[in-house]
Amino acid sequence: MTAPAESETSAKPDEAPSLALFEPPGGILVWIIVFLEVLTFGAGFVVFAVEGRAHAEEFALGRALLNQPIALANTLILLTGGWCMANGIVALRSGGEHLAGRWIAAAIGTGFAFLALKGFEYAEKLQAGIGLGEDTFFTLYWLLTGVHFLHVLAAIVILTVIWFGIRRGKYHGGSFYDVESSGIFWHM
Amino acid sequence: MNRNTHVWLALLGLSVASFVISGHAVGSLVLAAAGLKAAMVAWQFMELRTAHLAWPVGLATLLVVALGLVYLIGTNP
Repeated sequence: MTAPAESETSAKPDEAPSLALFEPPGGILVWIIVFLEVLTFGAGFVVFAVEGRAHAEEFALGRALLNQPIALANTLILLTGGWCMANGIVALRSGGEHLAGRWIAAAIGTGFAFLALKGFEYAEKLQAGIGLGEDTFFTLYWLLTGVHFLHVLAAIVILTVIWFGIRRGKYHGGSFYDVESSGIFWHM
Repeated sequence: MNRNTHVWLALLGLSVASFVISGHAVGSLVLAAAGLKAAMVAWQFMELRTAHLAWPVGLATLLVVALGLVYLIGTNP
């Protein structure tokens, strides 16, 4: 990815520069991906709501089988990962490569924690014999959470590449465009 | 504390509040909290506050349409 040089040199540590219509923070490509994912998940939730009306009893039973404390823990973990990534970008813009590396490593750690907890939740379901074809509720559950699981996995791979890039000096206080793009994908 | 930390703490608080009220079947409040959390992440962490106005307006429109449809489908007889 190439960056508008001016935007990299004029950035304040805690705030990206104001950008033109076709230059949102992190670049237009990652925002197209964000909008496509919002559309996909939005459509998924609408289908979930429609099917929930059609199969109210089945969906109530399905909800009762979900592990709510794990869902809350995973939400808090991912929000913490987002905070770590945002702080990593602020640190990198300020020229604090070591600190940025630590924040991004922490974000990667939260990603693995999410995958581990989700894996535990999936194992619970599979041990109880609840698979993709169980019923409409769990078909949608596996599809929606599965896509999210893959998104987090892909984001971990990307952040790991970014982390190595910071360690090798590729990304620093004067070059952080790819890091911003990766951050947008991570937050999504 | 920087702005990121303020927003992070607010997001944690909103998530815990959603978890608590979801047990009392207040679906509209849970949906509103979800929309607010998404907006806060986009505005602060994804730095939409620094982008051209079209980007936050576009994303907010998508969120309102998706959450609004879920709300209407879930509540209308």
